[in-house]
Amino acid sequence: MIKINDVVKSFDGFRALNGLTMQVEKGSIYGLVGPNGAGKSTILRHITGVYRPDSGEILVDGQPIYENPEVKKRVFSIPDELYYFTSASTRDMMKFYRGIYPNFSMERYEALKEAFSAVDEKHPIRRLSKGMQKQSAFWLALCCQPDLLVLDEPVDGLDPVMRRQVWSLLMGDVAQRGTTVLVSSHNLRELEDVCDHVGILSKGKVLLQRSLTDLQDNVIKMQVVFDSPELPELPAELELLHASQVGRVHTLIIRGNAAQTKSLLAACQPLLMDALPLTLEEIFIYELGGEDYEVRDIVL
Amino acid sequence: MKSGTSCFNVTLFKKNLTRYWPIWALYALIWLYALPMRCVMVVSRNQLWMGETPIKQVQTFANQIPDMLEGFGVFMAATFGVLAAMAVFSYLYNNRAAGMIHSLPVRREGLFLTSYLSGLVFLLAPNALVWLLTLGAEGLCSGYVNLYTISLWLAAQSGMCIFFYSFAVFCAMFTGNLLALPAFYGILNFLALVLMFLFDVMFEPFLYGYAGMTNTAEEIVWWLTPAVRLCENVRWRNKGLGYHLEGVPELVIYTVAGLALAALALLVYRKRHIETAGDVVAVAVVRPIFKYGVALCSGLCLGYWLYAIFGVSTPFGLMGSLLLWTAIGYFAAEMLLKKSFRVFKAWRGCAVLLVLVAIGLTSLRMDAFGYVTRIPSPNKVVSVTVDGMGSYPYDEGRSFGFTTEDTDLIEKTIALHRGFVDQHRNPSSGEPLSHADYIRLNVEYKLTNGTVLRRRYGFSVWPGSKLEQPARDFYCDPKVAQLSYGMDEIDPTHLDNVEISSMWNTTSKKNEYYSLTEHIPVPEQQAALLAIYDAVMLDFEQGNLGKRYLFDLEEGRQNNTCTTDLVIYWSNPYGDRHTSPHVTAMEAATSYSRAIYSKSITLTPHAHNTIRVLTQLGVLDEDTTLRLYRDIVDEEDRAKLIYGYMGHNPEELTGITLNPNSAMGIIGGADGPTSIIVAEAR
Repeated sequence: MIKINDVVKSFDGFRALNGLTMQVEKGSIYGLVGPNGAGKSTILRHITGVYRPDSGEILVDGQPIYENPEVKKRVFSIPDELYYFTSASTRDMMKFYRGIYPNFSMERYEALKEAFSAVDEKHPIRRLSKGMQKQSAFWLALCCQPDLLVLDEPVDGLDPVMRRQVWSLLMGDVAQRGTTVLVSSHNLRELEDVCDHVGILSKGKVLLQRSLTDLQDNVIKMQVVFDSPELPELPAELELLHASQVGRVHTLIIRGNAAQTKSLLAACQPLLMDALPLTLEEIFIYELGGEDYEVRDIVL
Repeated sequence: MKSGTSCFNVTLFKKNLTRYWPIWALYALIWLYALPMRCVMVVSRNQLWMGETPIKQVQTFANQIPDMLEGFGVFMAATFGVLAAMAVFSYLYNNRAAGMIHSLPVRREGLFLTSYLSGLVFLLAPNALVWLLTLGAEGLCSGYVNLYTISLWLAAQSGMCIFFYSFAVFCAMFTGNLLALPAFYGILNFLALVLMFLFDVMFEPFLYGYAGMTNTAEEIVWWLTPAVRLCENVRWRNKGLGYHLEGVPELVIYTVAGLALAALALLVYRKRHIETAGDVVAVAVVRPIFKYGVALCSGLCLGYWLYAIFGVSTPFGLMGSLLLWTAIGYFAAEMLLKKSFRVFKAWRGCAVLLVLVAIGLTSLRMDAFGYVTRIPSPNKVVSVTVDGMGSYPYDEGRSFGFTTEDTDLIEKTIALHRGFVDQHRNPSSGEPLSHADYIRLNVEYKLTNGTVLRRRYGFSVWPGSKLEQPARDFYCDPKVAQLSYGMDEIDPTHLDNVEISSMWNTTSKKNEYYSLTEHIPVPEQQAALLAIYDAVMLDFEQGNLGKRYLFDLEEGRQNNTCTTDLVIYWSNPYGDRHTSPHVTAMEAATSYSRAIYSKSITLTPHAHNTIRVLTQLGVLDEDTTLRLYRDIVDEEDRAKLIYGYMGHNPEELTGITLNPNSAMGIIGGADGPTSIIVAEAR
């Protein structure tokens, strides 16, 4: 659905995107994660055709998105900072989007009234709370029935019930209409629940992008206990990302799949050995650890 | 594949109209009040109080409509033009708005065209509505409709709206800050004119003889100052042949320029980076222009202001002030661009700029380009236009302005020009406190190669100074005097009056004033006026009048001129004054709108023909006579000695015997005594 090749973008000499390359499969929910300033919002604005890249290309369904209304008709975005016309209500914005997006569905608008019943459609949006404004944005976005939905910190401000409801609606669209969702968020635990693909950005580049399953299969957390309290010399084939110790229990973060890692560690004759899957948050932190992102010890 | 289908978006267009309705509503309301509502009010009020027929009143009202274009129309177009542009392109100045609008499936061309047209409709639709309602009001009030004047208003006002709005849109494309837009717009509307003024005043101390820009450059400056040019040139005038609109070429040219600016704005918009929302300057290539432009303009404006406020009169004082404000302007611009107060790291750019400015000003002062010393050779001058002030007596010939191809006069002008330059480079020493006269000369040579050379001079000249001879050769030349008086301009068929001032009454010992129309019956006035005119012209022809003297106190001036001035008045019934549209063609022919001209001539004791006619008319007789200038100069000198006039301190005047019973006073300005009061105790 989205293909980004070697995109570079600089702002006043600062290189926000530094040869970014990534791919988003059609019908997937792609989570974009990365530290502050990694370029997440910048790449999302490129994908919605707002920014023009200095170099590289951004294709949506094989066509460049920039200045291409035919493609942009199928893309809707909910940015981190929402914008509505001054004094406009949800109903006013509905009329506006109805005139702009050909797939806008009035039936859906009426149907979703119930889901977003807390939002008074005639009330000026700027007077609504942040969470209500987000609900209004999702209501309108879902009515536009886009093929690609680009979300920047989408559920920030929503209460847990509404978060669940919004994700449920989005996943329903993905399942029924094949909508592709590209979502940027710092809430990794939540992304872990909904995303099937994840890309990690750092310093304007994609460090890695995989399906969540592959990602979780590729790094493993081992808890091992040996005879001696010290960690013995591990086989050279093991790519150790991080080691910590509590009592005699060593926690090892190792790149590789569980079976292979277990067999290699068995050579060290541990008394006890257990393989645990990593959360997305842990993967994020260990992957970025190689990028000098010094927070891993704080989180763990 | 990119789509080229969405060049206009109806939804966005409608949204603009509904979102920003206060702008077009207010614009419409003001014009509705100014035209159709006023039509109704004027007719009903005048009918009640003056009893005029409605048709007559509507005719008068309709005739005044294009008058609204002068000033008020320009103000409305300029003000609402920028307001409309600020509204419809406001999304460019807010990151959220810019992101949302540009994520919509509309191409940049479509966004621009939709926004541009919606803003234009804010102005043109009310114009059309006002046109329609004014016609309706005229028809309803009287049954009479003047389609011509209201249509003229519609076309001209719409043209001005197109220009000012498009100009504002053009400015809007270069900034990412909503408040910067009206600032840029206002500054650019007057920048050329202000810079011309500042260059004129700033160059003078550095460049001796600097006479301002060339006519072509000045003309360009006026064109680049649209608000002023339109205010000055768009006029609804009556020159006796009915009303017509002046300034149509300006209206057409500015309308076309407006459309061209809109096209340029689109080109800039296509290249604009949306992330510049919030920046003072949104287009990268314009940033250095902005930075150095602000630095130089603040140097010129505020540097001159500081110079003027503190009265630092030396060129180097001015240079210091200019450099200081250039530096301040540079860092202020840097702060605006960087949106930070921490900009002093950019000192290198500032230092380079200051060095360049200092070098530029010093080279001007040192005349590195040979501007000051450039004097054309006579054989390369086609014609010369001079105007200035100097020579005596104090009459029409003192100030002059003429163009001549006379080789003799060209040579004398060049000699005087050379005299000014020599005097500047090697000043004469020993300027006396008194008896020094200030002469002024503006000269413009038209050269054989088609170029124009202009210089402006002012200098003190005194007996024995280097400048005396070339100044005397020029200022006292009979041809210069003839051109200065310009007696052939008088229209003898429309003589109005003759006034004579400062005739001496030998009995009352007072000066007397005479006005011909107050003393001669109306039927005889024209004959008397013509007789005086003929006599004066004959005396000019015979050289009895119009002789000029370089110094006020030189012997020839004192002995050969009188204190009496004769002023001839004549008129032009369709003069070039701006006449009010309230005046009908018949009224325009009356004195209300006539242009009155006059010429004053100082009489001489040799003006036999004039004296004879004045004697025949009873103006001069045994009691009322002419007095030589020497007589009052003697009195003036005495007064100077007593009252320290012109710098003398009476306490220093030892060894001078004065009549202790006399008292004397002078009332007068810089160019000579207006009155001398003498009182002697009996």
